[in-house]
Amino acid sequence: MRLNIIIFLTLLLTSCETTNKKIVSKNNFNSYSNNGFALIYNDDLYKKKIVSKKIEQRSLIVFNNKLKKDTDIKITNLLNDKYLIAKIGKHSKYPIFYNSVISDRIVTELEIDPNQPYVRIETINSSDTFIANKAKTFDEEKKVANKAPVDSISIQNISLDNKNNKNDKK
Amino acid sequence: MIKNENNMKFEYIIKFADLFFEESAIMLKKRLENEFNLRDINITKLSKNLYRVYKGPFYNLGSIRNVYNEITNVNFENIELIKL
Repeated sequence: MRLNIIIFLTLLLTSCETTNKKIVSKNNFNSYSNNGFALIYNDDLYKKKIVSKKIEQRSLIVFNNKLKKDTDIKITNLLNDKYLIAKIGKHSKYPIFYNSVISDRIVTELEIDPNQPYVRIETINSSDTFIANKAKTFDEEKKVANKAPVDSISIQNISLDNKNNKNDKK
Repeated sequence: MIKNENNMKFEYIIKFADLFFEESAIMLKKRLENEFNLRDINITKLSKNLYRVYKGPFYNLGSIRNVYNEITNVNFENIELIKL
């Protein structure tokens, strides 16, 4: 009897497995948002070495050292709420006071005031599918379909009636 | 028109953090004052459980830039400028 208990216990203990599974998220999306002043790029800044890399005048490239290159971002002019989608450019040196360096095109499209270039830089999730919001079906709604009484279904041809009406008029 | 005028008015604060507990906000304020010798740190209650620790307001770009450059040694993750 004792032997049976010992065998049972050894089987029980050895069959137990500790599960240390890590939940690995496949989503690499890192959320980032910052409100602050943007530095409007011009060639003088590059010549004076205030900014270490050039931005094309017509490009939608933004320099931001907190985000990786080619990250899609939404840049919003917080004074008039206009926004556009841009990309993070190469890593560049610029004064730490500014949250980004932006091109002339972004300035004109967002109508940014050069005296107050107050913008929000935020990352956007560029994955193909995402859940915008989950719909809720209330219990009352679920009951409606079952409880609504439908006695009979009939098909009425409206076109015939119209023809008859036309004939009557003649 | 009035909205535009308000938008053009230069009045910004430097936000250090928005915290859930008032005690945490007070603690952060004390640390900023004692460890980093920062002065005029304020706390404002945004909602029931949201307390903002900030410095300011500032009324011109030069003053806010100078103060911002001074506080960069705090090494905060995400210091923001907020328009009032």
